[in-house]
Amino acid sequence: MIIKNRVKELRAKHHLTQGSLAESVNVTRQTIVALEKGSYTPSLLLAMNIARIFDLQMEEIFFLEEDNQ
Amino acid sequence: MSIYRNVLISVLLLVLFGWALTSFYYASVDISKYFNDSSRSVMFELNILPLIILIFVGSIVSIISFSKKKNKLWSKSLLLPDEFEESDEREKEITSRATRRAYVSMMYATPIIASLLLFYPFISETIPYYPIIIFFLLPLTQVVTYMVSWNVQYNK
Repeated sequence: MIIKNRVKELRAKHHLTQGSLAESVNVTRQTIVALEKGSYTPSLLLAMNIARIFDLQMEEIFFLEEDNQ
Repeated sequence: MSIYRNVLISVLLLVLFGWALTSFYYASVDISKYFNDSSRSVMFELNILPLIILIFVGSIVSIISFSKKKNKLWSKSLLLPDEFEESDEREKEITSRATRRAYVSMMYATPIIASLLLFYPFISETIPYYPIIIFFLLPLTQVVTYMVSWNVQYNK
């Protein structure tokens, strides 16, 4: 199982740049890049902060998916 | 990327420190000869150039490092290596993984590097400070492993 997310889609919907989202959740832009690529699984705190920015429940942004590899 | 710059500075300081130690090594050889031969007029000669360069470069690096740190505590600025990039949770994770790999690299590098000391009797005349070079291979291995691991994970 892997954790996928809808951060890229939601960021575009809210007209946010990677830099501005990074700044509002207090991480570096590279962390948002890695998060969107799926190569980084955020901490619970970061996931909750991102959910708060998008005004959504955490499970609406982050969800489990079968790992096909 | 700053990790390259920081690692390069660490390597430079290690090399300078090694160079300074070789001149102290020659000085201690002179001192031991002086005690065995009372006819010598000079106790020892010391090339202080490497030491001066080390102090000069080390001071500049420390001042720059301290001025760039967000956490302006002297103790943290001077005691923690600059290679530790920890501006957010992902960098902290990458740093901890790279540190783990650097630690594991020591377990393999130590016996290999220690066994290189077996060659010392054959080259002690040519390179008398050979053990100093060998000893400094340990931190060099550690810092290079750290840099490679950090870089690979950062660019994933």
